Amino acid sequence: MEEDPVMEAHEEFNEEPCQSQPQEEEGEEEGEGEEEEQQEQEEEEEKRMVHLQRDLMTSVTNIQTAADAKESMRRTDLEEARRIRLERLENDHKSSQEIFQEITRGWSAAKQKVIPQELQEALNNQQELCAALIQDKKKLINDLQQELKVGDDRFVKDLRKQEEELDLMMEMMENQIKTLTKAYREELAQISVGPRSQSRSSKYLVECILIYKSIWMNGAYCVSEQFYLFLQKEMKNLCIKSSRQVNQFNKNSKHLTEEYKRSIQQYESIRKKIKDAAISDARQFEEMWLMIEEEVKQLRERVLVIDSQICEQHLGLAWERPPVGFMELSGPLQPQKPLRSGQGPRPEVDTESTDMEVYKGAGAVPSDSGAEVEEGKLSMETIKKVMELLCDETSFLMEDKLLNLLASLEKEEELVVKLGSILSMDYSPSLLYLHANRGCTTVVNWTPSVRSEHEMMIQQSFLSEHVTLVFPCCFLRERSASQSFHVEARESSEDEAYWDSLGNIISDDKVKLWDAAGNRLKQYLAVLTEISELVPETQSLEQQNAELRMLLQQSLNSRHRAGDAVNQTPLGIGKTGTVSNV
Amino acid sequence: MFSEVNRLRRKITPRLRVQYFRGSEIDIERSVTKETTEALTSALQYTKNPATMARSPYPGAPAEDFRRSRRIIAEDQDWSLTLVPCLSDLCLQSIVRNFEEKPIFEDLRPIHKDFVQERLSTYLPLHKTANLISDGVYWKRCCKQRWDICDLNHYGHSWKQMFLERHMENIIELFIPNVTELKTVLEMVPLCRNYVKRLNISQLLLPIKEPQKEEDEEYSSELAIDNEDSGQSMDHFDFNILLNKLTKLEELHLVYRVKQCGMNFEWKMFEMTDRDCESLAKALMSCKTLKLLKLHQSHIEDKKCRLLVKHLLDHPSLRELDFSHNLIGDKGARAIGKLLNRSKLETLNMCDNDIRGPGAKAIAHALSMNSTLLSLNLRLNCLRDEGGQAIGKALLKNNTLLHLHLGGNQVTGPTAIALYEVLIQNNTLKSINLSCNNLGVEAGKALGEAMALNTSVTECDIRLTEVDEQSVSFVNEMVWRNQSLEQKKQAGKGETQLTSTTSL
Repeated sequence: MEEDPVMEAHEEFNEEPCQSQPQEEEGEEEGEGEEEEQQEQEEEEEKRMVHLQRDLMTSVTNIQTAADAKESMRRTDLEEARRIRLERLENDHKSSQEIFQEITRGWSAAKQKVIPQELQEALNNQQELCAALIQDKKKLINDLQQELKVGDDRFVKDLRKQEEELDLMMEMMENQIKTLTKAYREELAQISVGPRSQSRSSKYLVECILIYKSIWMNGAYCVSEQFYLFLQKEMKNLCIKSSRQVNQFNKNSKHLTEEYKRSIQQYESIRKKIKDAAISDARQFEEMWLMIEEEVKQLRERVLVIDSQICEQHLGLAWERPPVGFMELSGPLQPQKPLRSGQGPRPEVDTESTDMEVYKGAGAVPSDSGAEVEEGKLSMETIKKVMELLCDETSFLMEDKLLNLLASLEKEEELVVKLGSILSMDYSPSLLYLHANRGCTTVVNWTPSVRSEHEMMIQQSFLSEHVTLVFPCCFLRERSASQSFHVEARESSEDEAYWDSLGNIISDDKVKLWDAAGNRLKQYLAVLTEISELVPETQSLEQQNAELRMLLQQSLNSRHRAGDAVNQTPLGIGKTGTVSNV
Repeated sequence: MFSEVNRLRRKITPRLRVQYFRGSEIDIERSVTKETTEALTSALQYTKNPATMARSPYPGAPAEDFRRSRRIIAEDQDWSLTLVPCLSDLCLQSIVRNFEEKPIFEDLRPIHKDFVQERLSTYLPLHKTANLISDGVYWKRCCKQRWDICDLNHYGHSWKQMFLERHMENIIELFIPNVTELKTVLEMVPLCRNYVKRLNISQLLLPIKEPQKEEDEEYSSELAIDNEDSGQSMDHFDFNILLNKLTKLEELHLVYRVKQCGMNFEWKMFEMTDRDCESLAKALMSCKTLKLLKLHQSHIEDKKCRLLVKHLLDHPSLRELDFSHNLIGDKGARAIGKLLNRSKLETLNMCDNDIRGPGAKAIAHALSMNSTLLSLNLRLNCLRDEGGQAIGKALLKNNTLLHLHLGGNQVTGPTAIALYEVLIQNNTLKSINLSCNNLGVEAGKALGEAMALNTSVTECDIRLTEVDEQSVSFVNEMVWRNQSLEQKKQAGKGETQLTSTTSL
């Protein structure tokens, strides 16, 4: 029982190539009798394959056969052992039966004994006999136990051996599969040089029919009724065969087509996703770029102002604005900008103008003026685009049949019919679409200035005129579609240089100059601070001085008057009274 | 550099927000799309009947709501206009999300079905999906998630069939009688009924042995009648409740064993009980669509074999029977012989049993009157010459059997002589296997002679039969000759006949 897996695996393995072989060769042999050479070659190839298969198969099945033989032998051995055992048991049974009878006889003899000595002897005899019997039995039991043990050991050994065999067999099978696969690959490569078998089988069929016809036409006299019947039968057989083949091929191809379709769909959706992601990345990139650029530009302006101040005011030099023409806010670098002037607003221009509006706050005139000239043409295009989009988005509302019919029409016709049918459907009671309508008008109102205004107007008017149902997504997606053409692989090699150039607006020399000026200014500042600290002291000193001077003046004045009084003392003492009055 | 940019960006962010704000149809879009999704879902579903849309559940939110929500969403910096998915995609995503509560599948278009199949959760309860979702990517995902090895060839190239069959097999293989509720199996029946064509059950568990309890008493008194000696039923899963309900079942592979039992080994684990046999036999009889039955390694002896055969007599559809690796002896073989002519069996595999001469005679007798059997495998039995000769004689009368395997049967010369006659007279037998028998040199020569005259046998295995090498190689040559003849006959039948008739 233990080796069952091997056997089973083997059987399966055995069956499979056997089944596949004839089919394959059937297909191979179909077109025999076309070209001698090819046929020979083919036959040789075929022979080689057959031999290969045969040899490989034999090498693997040998193991199975060997295992079978071993199993068979084991069974014979077991049976033999059982036979011997049974025989032995039988013999034992017989002999012990004899002894037992002897013992029984001994008992009856013992009963007749009268003399105790004789009885003793008889009893001893009986005892010996019993002991011998028991001994025999014990030995037998022992032997059988020994046998059991040996059997156990053998079982374990067998198990191990079988495991090894299994491994070997698996290895061989793997090898065989490899070899066969290789051989089949080679054959396949040969076959696929020209798709022979199929075409040849049909050619063969046609040939057969021709031959039958010619025979029928020419030698009608020698063709018996029987032959005719045979021909008919043969034809039928061939037809059945070919139809079966055709069926098979059809089934296969159908299956494959479905698979293919699904793969394509998946591929498309993934590509779309990638595209969308790329667009959004590009947009984000652009926004970031503009934002940072704007910031950098402001910084640069500040730097330039400072530079001019340093130059003019502190160093007394004439200051010249460095060339900054290339530094207008321009968005990401576009190495090869394709020229598409008359084709509607370019997205960068659009966004740029938006940014300008946002940042400067002034109503800078965007690049609309040019576009307005071509408004008629452009609006037609836009309308068409919007119409297409509308059709695409709402086509699920239409029945499949109608869609299929429309597919055969020309694109514009298709568009018109589709729109007509969509718009003629009665949706008015539907709250859903009412809402959708509201939603989309809101959207229109909110459409960002990223779109040029006139386009928006067109859209709006178009919508208010014709559309009773449009979902917001349309606009978003259309917008993304209009921008999608400018998403391409960006070359980032020049970016660094660009940003460097922005950063290096102040040259190294100037930086040194700035440093020196800074140092000087610092020193100057220190002196000034010192001076400024000294100023109040000086002022107080000045004040003191002034006061002192005044005092001095006063004292001088008073002393002068006193001198006058001394001079007049003999004349009148009363003068002192005046002094005190003063 | 990057951190600087980030810093800058953070600094400028408010401005950026303003910018987004100006283009703030974004957020409205968002809220609108979110809310309309639901509505659109129903729209997709009822495309063919616009009238139902009139009762759309969507009321339309007031405009202020938009303005309020706008401020929050506009600050989502990862959000980008260009990534707005198609409306239909959003609807389908909503269908996928709410599949459990509201399964919508049949009404979708094929492309949308694919979309849904690729995104549905594989953890959805089976009773929601089994009868709704057609074969496709969804089932493939389910299978791949659950099993590493998935070979579609065995399941009619259908992922759904694979999943449901293997699921059913799992349930039965883990079914513990008296513990697992029958409901778990019966619940599956309406779900798998239309898809399960093959059941390959590689183990059947025994009931858990417990010390006798009152509850158990109830069970056993309910179930068992003659079980007093064991006290408790030790029966396996009862197929009676299942087989008659699976109306598409064609193949049943059964093994009464416990996998990986380890040191808990007991012989009971590897045999079917009498009552198992009885219930299985009745179940098989009730399964009218069954074409193939394999019952391996289940300790079937004569009694059980006879019981099974008794119920398989006159089975309307059974074509292949495989009782390999059991203990069927002569009495069982006699029953099988009876079955051969009371059924439409085409393949019979009795390899590795205990059939001896008398049993083989019974089978041979049936064979001599049979006209349906194509393949007979008696490998590793013990026919001996008694049985071998009987089979040989039967083959003289039979002209339908294509494959015969008598390997490892202890047959010798006399059987070979009987087959010598068969090879000369019978022109239908295609393959014959006599390996591992002690045929002897003389027999080899006789077989060689017979093969020289035979044109139908394309396989003749006489390895390890004590035949001398010369005979072996001669027989092989003859076999190869017959093989190429066969090929030519198959391929160029019309051609050869044509040339022969045109020469008239």
